[in-house]
Amino acid sequence: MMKWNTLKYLFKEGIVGLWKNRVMALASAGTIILCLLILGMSYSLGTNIDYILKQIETKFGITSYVKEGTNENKILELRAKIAGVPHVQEVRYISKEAALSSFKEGMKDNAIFEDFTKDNPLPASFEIIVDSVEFQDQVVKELGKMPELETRYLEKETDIFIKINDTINYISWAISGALIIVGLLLMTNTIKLTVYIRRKEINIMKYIGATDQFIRLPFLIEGVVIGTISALTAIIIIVVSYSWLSNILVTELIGLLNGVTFRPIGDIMQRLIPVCMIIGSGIGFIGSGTAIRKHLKV
Amino acid sequence: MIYLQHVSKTYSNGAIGLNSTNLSIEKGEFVFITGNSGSGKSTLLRLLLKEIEPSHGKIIINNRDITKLKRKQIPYLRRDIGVVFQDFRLLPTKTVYENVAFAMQIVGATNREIRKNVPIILGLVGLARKARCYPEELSGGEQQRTALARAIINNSPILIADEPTGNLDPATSWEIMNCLQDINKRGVTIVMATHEREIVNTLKKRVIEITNGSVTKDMHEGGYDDEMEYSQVFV
Ligand SMILES: Nc1ncnc2c1ncn2[C@@H]1O[C@H](COP(=O)(O)OP(=O)(O)OP(=O)(O)O)[C@@H](O)[C@H]1O
Ligand SMILES: [Mg+2]
Repeated sequence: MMKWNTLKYLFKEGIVGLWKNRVMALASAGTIILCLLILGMSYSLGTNIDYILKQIETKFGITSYVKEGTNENKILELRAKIAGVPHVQEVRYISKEAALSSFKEGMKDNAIFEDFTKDNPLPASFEIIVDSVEFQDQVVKELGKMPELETRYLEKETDIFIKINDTINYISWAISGALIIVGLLLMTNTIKLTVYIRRKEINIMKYIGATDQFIRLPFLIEGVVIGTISALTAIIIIVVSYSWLSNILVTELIGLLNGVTFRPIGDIMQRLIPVCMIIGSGIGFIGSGTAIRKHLKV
Repeated sequence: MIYLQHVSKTYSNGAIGLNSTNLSIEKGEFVFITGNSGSGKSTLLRLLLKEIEPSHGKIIINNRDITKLKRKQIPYLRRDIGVVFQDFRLLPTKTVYENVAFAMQIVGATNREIRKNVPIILGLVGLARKARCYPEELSGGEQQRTALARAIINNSPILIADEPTGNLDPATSWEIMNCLQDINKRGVTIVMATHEREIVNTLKKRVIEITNGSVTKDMHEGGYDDEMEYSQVFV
């Protein structure tokens, strides 16, 4: 076990080494920052697409079809029941007739549908708006418990959105995974170069009886400090640019987006800060560790 | 203190470094290892430091067979052996003081011990005024004296020197030799490989000559080329 005094010395050595090898340290830091920035970007993008789609989904609302043969009283009862489900903001009843007329509206010039008036095949339905995106699933689950209803909250359009969303999620995870690996490789290589430049020093240390631990620790500390500083830098850049960009987009695209908002920065950072810190310091630690291993075998 | 028993070293490319060598060096001795370039002097010293492994034989230092040491134990062997080289091998990013203090940090010395001992040793090798200099700001002789200070700061009983004067002019070489003699007088066993006839001939220490990996001469109070001088007398 190392003495406290020795640990203190090696910690200081790590920090001093950082300064003395600042060019290489900057190169390593740049690599990690870039890696984390792209990671943060793809995460922000992915999570926002998710968030915005959820908002659009909410606008589409949940549709619960009333099974054929349910009587008026039961329908009123159902309506009250639905309105009583927590987080339901609005319930609209669309009768068979209303459904047909709005259907005809969409098919104005098509005379064939005139026949439907006699024998209306369209079901009555409730349209339900949820007060906040994240409770959508919960409300759907409650509605599912009512046997008279057949609930679909994904119209065809949202189905497609969901598919796109899944694809984007999948791609952004793949990109993130690849980035972590690339970052690790780049970092290892940069540190390898540092270690290579300093291999003579390592050799000298071995000659005068330094243990592997003693030689390795300052390098590890260097790596972790580089990683942590890089993570902090990346986080600051992401916070600043995200706030700036989402502000601009919201004001510029206000008509187009129609009240759709971006995920608040706090939400994003809650996930991104620990992820960046862990990946940053992890890359630094593993990178240094792997890079120095070969040179310790003297 | 140092014993070699039938030690051979053949490098992986087939080159013979040392050939079934027997040797014993006692505590407090000052030994020159001489021989032509490529004869195996550095090989012998590197074996003592366990930088390379012998192909055959036993190497006993301080009553321990070092060929049996595990990798983890090597640093502790090296703490018993101070080393200096032709190319000084100082840490370039540390000052003279820090280079010497580094050796004490390795063995876990306290800050108080370091602050007390480093200036004493630097005084001993005549570098008190250069303590804050970096190696590149020093002359070759000063760099080698720094290396000497580092080699003796932990009171290692053995000092190994591979051509410590190889890069120095004659006057500076003598400064280093005087330092080494002082160190030897304090009881440190010194094994020094060298090419320098004048030094060997003047100091009259034990001389071990190696030729093509074998010990061909081992004389107390010897000279560099005793045989040649001997034959010259008779011509
Ligand atoms: N790492 C190595 N790999 C292969 N052969 C080596 C290695 N080191 C030394 N040799 C060979 O071993 C022999 C002895 O070399 P060594 O370095 O011990 O000589 P030396 O007496 O120190 O020479 P010099 O006076 O030039 O320093 C030489 O033939 C050399 O070529
Ligand atoms: Mg040599």
